[in-house]
Order: sequence, then structure tokens, then C-alpha cells
Amino acid sequence: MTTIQSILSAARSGMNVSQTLAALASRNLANVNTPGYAREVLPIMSEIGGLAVRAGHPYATREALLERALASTVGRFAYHDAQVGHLQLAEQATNDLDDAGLGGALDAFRFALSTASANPSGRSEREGVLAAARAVAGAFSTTRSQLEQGRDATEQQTHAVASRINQLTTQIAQLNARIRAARPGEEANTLNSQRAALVETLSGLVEVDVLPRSDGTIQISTGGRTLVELDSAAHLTVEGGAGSALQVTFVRPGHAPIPASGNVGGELGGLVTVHNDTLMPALAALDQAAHGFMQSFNASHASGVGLDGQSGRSFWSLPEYVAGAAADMQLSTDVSGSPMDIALARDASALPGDNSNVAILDKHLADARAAFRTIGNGITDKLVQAQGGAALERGSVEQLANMLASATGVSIDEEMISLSQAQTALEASSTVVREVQTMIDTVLSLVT
Amino acid sequence: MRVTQQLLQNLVRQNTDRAARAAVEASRPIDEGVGISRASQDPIKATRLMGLRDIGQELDRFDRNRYLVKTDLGQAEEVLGSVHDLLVDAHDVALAMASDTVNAGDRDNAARQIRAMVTQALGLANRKDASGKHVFGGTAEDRAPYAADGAYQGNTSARMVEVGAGLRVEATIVGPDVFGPSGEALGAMIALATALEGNDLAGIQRATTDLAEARRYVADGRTEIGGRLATLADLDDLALSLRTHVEIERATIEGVDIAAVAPAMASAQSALEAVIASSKSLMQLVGRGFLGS
Repeated sequence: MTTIQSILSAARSGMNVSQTLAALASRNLANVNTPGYAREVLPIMSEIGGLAVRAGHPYATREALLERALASTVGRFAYHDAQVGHLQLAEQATNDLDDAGLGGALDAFRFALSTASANPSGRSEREGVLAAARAVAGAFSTTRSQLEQGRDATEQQTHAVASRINQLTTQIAQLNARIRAARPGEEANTLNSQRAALVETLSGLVEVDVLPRSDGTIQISTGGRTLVELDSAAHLTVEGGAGSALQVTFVRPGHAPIPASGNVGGELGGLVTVHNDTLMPALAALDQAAHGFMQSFNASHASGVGLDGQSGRSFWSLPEYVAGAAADMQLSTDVSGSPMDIALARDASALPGDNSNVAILDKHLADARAAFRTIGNGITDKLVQAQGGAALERGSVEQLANMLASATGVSIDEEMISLSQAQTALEASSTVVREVQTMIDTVLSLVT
Repeated sequence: MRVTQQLLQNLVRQNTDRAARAAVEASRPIDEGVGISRASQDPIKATRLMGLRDIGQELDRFDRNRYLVKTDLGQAEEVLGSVHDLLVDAHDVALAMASDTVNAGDRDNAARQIRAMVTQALGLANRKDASGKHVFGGTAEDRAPYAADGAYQGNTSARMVEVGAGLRVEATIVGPDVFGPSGEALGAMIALATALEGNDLAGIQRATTDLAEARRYVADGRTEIGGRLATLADLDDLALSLRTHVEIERATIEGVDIAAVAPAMASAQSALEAVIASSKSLMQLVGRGFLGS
């Protein structure tokens, strides 16, 4: 039987739900631009056997699959994008399209040798050869220095990124613990939003796989290793560097450090890749090219003769080790300051006009030129791949971000309608209360 | 599809980014002054451009070498022309002095004239170029190729200089190749002078024949050098033609085609302005909706 009390109770429940609905709409509107925020929805249900309604705990309209796909795609985009800047600098160092740099210096050396071949006894032509050779040594050194700076910059950046990742994973682990203990509703939703924002940031630094758990926590793994599990986060470090390959390592409390089983992706993975797969090999190849060039050039030079008819002289001072050879190129004391001792001839009896060694020396220069171009082409290939990958993933990221924004974002129109509905419902409930009051007043007046 | 505030913001940001990138890319050739400055911008074009640059570098080297060789050979040709003239003059003198009507005094005077010619011819045979190299000594360029008695002191080695792709020419001249295997050009003049001094009519007549023979040696040598110079001139023409083609292709790849870039820039700029304008309108609409006005 319907009593006045039950009517008042129904009106009160309606007022409560309306207020909650209005508060939720306001909250949604207030967080329209909050990173990681997902629109919250209020479940409303009728009381069993009565007129009253009640509101459940508001829940966030999260799309776990989309979020997971977006996190992974952002990681892949960042992996390529992080490489682009460093590869562009490396490409600039090895650019063969301008007349400057090592390519231009090697061409100038060939030109000087060729000019000397037309007048092998000319002092100015021979001095030109020495000047061009010094320029080649300088260009090798400069190119190596630029590549080395790029390599060192990636090393420093990987440490900074690893540090940022550790901060984020620690915060996510802490939030996991708080979410597990949080009351359902606003508190849990707020923490979830904060955690989602952190995961979004983390996914750009390292490619993550996010696995939601039934207790509200998430497990995050990367590179085949677990990064966050419940309230515990692995500490990520980058080993190596200073000339050796970089290796991402995971350290969990109480466990031995273990290396990542694959590329960790994201900005960190991109930096490690550009360091290990491009800059280090390019530096090694440049050193190898410099050392090989000096060695072969010296051998041919030693078998030739200077203007005094003597053979056996070195042209370059050959460094003991291949590593760093490009930085240590310098003329041998045999010829430095003694241009007439450059062995342009092979036949001592045909001096001073013999130039028969020039073509042999030029061949080594042509080989060095080709080796340098190969290094540059390798870097360009990597850059084109990275740019293509970044462009492709950027499109995917945009599409997924838009889908997620559409599914979980806040629509101002919807919230305004929701506010309007809440207001109407509140007014309806107020009307019921007012009418009950009128009924009671009428009854009381009849009684008295 | 729900249209949310975040989705609108995403779309505005993405469209603006895309339009801005397109505008920057469209204006890049103007900013950099070249159509392609790094290989990654267009690897295929870059490869072709590098190939063209290599050809250009080779052409520069060969041009320089041809210029140096032509200078040396041109000087040699000029010297041989002078020697040839001396031989003609000496031959004329010999013919005149071979007459029975000429007396010993006239022949003695003629001998002095021929001696002067010998000195002049020796000077020409030992001529140095601008860099101090002797022209007719083979690769032995640091010493005079001919002694006062006409004996050859140079060597028979040749210096080959690359003047075209895979093409080498002899840049040096071996004296015997142009003055006769036994220095006939000088020897005939010296023999004539000796015969004139000795009033030796038979000797003068022999010298007349020898001088005619020597002229042929010098003329043949001059022709051979002229042939080398003609080859170099042909190579100059070929190189110029090739260089023109290379430069045109380079300019096509490397240069900025204003006629193509300007409309692309204008189009990208218009697109960017349109995106900004539509974004502005959209955000104003959203704002008004939010404020309920």
C-alpha cells in the first residue's frame, strides 16, 4: 500500500539521484580537458517493489582494448620518431649532396692529385696535394666527431628517458595500490584517470602492454619483461655506452638484473636502436674506411718514388688501432713539409716527369669515396625507414586517439542535456514533495 | 560516432599540424634554395644527383688536365713552327750557297748566319715552359734536352695524363720524335754551318738534302702534336656538351622550380588558413554551446 511516507521517500530518492546526476555532469564538464579522464556515467535503477530510484556507483566509460591498442601504437610511433632527429643529424654529418664535408674533401684531394699528374715536378702542385690531404684528415676527424657527438647524445638521452620511465612506473605502482584499496565510484575513477594519464605518457617512452586485472590494478610489461605488477615496479637501467652497445636491463627488488629480451620500443627503444644499429656501426665503418684507406694508400705510396728517386716512404702516419683512426689521421713525417718526396712516380729513371703512381693512388681515393658514400647511404636508408614508420604510426595514433576520444571523452552537449534532465527530475521530485505537503496540510486542516 | 570535446580538440590539432607540416614542406625548397638538399628527401633523385656530381667532378679534373696539357703542347707546336721556319731559312741559304758562283767570303758570312740560326734552334729545342720544365726532353724535364753539339740528353719516357674518362694522352714530347732520331734538325744546320765555313760545296749540297729531310721530321712532329691538340679540342667540345647535359639535369633535380613551388605554397597556405578558420569557428561554436548562449 502506498503511504505518504513511501511517496516522500520516492521523492527524496529522486532528488538525491538528480543531485548526483547534476554533480556528475558538472564533474565531467570540469574534466573535459583532463588527460586520461574518461566520461563518468551514473547507473540509475528503481528500488525493488517501490517507486523510489537509487543511483549506483558512477563508473568511467573506459575502453580497455582501445587504450591498450593506443598505448602500443604510441610506443611504435615514438620508437620511429625518436630516431628521426638523431638520424637527421647523422645524415647531415655524412651528407654527400653538398660540396662540403668529407665527400668534398676527398673530391678535392682527387683533383689535386690529378693536377699533380699533369705536372708531377711542380712544387705548387705537390703542395696542393699535401694541403688537400690535410683537408681530408680534417674532414674525417670532423665527420667522426659529429657522429660521436650524436652517439653520446643518444646515450645521455637514454639515461634521462630511463629515469623518467622509472618515475612513472613507480607512480603507477603506487596508484595500483591505492586503486585496489579505493572505494568504488569517484575515488577509484579519479585514481584510474590519473593512472591512465601516466600510462599514456609512459607508452611514448617505452612500448608497453597493459593488462587490466580484476582487482582494478594493471600489469605493464615491455620487451618481454614485467615493468609493473601490483604495487611493485621494476627499475629499468641502461647499461653500456661509451663506445659499447647499449642494453636495457630490468632490476626487480630481490631479483638479479635481467636484460630485456627484445627491443623495448618507444622513445627508449628508438634511441637504443639508433645508437646500436646506426651510429656505432657508422663510426666503426668510418674508422675502418679511414684506416683501410691510409694503409692501402701508404702501401702504394711506399712502392712509388719521390722526386729524389727514393721509395719506401709513408704518406700517412698510420694509427696503431682501427678504432678512432678517423680522428687520428695525419700526414707522415716522410712527406709532411716535404712535398717533393710525395711518390707520384714509379719509375726512378723517368724522373722528374713520371706520374705513373698517381692513377694507383687515385684508386684508393676512389675506394675511400665509395666507402664514405656507403656509410651515408646506410644512414639515409635508416632515416627514410624511420620517417616512413613515424608517418605510418602517426596516422594510426591519430585514428585510435580519435576513436578513444569518441568513445570515452566528454561531450558538452550530452552533459548539458544530462544537467537539464537532472534539473527537470529535481523539479519533479520537488513538486511531489510540495503536493504531499499540500495533502498533509489539507488533512490536518480537516482534522482540526 | 559520439562527437566529444576531446575528439574535436584532437581533430583541430591533427588538422592544424597536418596543414602546418604541408605548408612548411611546400616552402622548404624556397627556404633552402635547392629542390633537394639531403638524400632522405628523395633517395632516388639523390642517387642520380650524386652520380651527376661525380661526373661533374670528373669533368672538372679532366678539364684542368686538358688545359695544362694543351698549354704545354701548344707551346711545343709554336716552338716547332719556329724551328721549321729556321730550317726553311737554312735550306734557302744552303740552296743559295750551293751555287758555283758564290765565293768563299759569301759562304763564310752565310756560315755565321747559320751559326746564329743553330744557336736559335738550340734555344728553341731547349725551351722551358712557364713552370720551368724543358719541353722536348721526355720526362727528363729538369735538364736541357740538347747539348751544344745537338746530342740528345733527355729520355724517351712519356707521361700519360688522363684527359677523359679512360682516355690518356701523352703530355710529354721526346726530342728525337720531332727533331729527328739523331737530332737531324740541329745536325743538318750544324753540318751546313761547318760546310759553309769549310767552303765545302759537296757538304753544302748534302746539308741541303739533310735540311729538307729535317724539315719533314719537324713537320711530322708538328703534325703529330697538332693531332694531339685536335684530339684535346674535340674532347673539349665533348666535355662541354656533356657538362651542359649534366648541368641541365642537375638544375632540373636540384633547382627550385618557382613555377611549381609557388602554386604549391599558395595551396598549402590556403589550406592552413582554412583549417585555422574552421577550427576557430568550431571552437567558438563549442564555447557558445558550453555557455548556453
